[in-house]
Amino acid sequence: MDETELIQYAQQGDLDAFNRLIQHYEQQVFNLAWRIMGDSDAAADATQEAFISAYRAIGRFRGGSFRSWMLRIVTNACYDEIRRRKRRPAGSLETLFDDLGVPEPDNPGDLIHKPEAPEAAMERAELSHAIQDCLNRLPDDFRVVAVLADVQGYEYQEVAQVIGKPLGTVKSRLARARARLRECLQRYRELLPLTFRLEDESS
Amino acid sequence: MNEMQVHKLSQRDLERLSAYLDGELNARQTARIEARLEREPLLRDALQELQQTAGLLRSMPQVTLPRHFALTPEMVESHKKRYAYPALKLSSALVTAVFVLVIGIDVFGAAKGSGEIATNFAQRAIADVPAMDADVDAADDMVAAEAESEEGLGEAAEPLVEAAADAYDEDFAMEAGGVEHTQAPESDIPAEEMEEPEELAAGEPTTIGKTVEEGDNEEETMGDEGEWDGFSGVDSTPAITATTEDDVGDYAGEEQGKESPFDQVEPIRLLEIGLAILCIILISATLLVRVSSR
Repeated sequence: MDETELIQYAQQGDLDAFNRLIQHYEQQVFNLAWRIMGDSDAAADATQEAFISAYRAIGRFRGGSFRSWMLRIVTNACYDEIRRRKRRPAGSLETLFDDLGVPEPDNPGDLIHKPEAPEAAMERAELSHAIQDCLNRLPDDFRVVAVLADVQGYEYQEVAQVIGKPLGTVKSRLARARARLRECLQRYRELLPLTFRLEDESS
Repeated sequence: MNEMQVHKLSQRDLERLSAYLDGELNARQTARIEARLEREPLLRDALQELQQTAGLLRSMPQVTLPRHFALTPEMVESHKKRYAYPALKLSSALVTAVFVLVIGIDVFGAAKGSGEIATNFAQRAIADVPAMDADVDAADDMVAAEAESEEGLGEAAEPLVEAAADAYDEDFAMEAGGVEHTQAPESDIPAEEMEEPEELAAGEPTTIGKTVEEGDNEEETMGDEGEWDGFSGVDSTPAITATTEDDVGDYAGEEQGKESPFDQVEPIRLLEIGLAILCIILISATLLVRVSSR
């Protein structure tokens, strides 16, 4: 059964058909949520919420890219979760991890990685943590665009569909997000690849 | 040196460069930026910085799923309940706020204003009934006249205009023109029997007074004429008009009041009772949903 048929069955209330769609998209959806939220639990909540919302709203899906539609729902779920957390701040995650003595939120066990030496794996995880920290420091709108375009690698047109903004807004937000990230990453220069450091030092 | 080239660019150049990096510029824009890249080292350095940053982001690994997110029928149902709770909570809060507002208006506003006035009117009206000394026949005449008046105000107005023209000089009659259409044809009751209470002579309305006035407007008018000496017609006429209109309303209220004691309850009381019941229902429903969702 292809995606279009699954969508049609799901629109008729077939939960199994919808669960097969979930199976196909859950990795992308969770990854996007994780990078936007910067926290595994919050990302899982937003992902689950997004799939429930999507199931309830699938009757209103009128064709086009199902992935864009799904990514838009999870992006909105992330915004909702961010707003909820701002209303009820429970201490920053960074502080929480520091308090618990956890070196980074995305510990190596969370990552899909190829077998590599422990040291290399640790460096890679630290770099990933550094980048995620800089992403977390971006304004929400910039972070969402940076994650969609750079981390997830979607085209500008699809990013525009997901965030529901014109292409010009995507270009502007992405450019500014990259500039800010570049600035932020200077704090973690020792973790950055050599070429990154050399170019920076030579300038 | 740590100063970054991207921050030396204008916003426009930064956006162009970023879009160029992703191949999102059209042919003309691409040619233009490439020509500039050849000439401007600053632009080249900035492009390299953007490339490195985007490359770092793209190198971020996918995260593993902590679990699968397949839905169960229970999850979909519980989701409905979860959304019902905040909706009910909000509704309860709004209705309670409106209820408190209405109570506040009733207590602090109506009690000091219209409530007291209405009570005074009612008390005066009751006191005025014996003073009017209208016998049963006169009351019957009044009812008949009133019925006539209700059937055709147009017909009733004509003799009144004539009566008014006889009673008043022309100027005054014109000023008092707004009154006549509400008056009924004359009756047999002599003017002497219709002693006007002091309050009425001063232009204040009564409630029961109207039951006689409706059938006896000419006498009242004549009586008024005699007592208007101390007043200007312009000042007195609106008061009479108001008296007549108010009295009609009061009379109707009295008639209805006889039919059902519930009709005597002020509308604001009914609103308060309704809101109180709604509050209780909504709060109970909210608590029920809250308890059942746990």
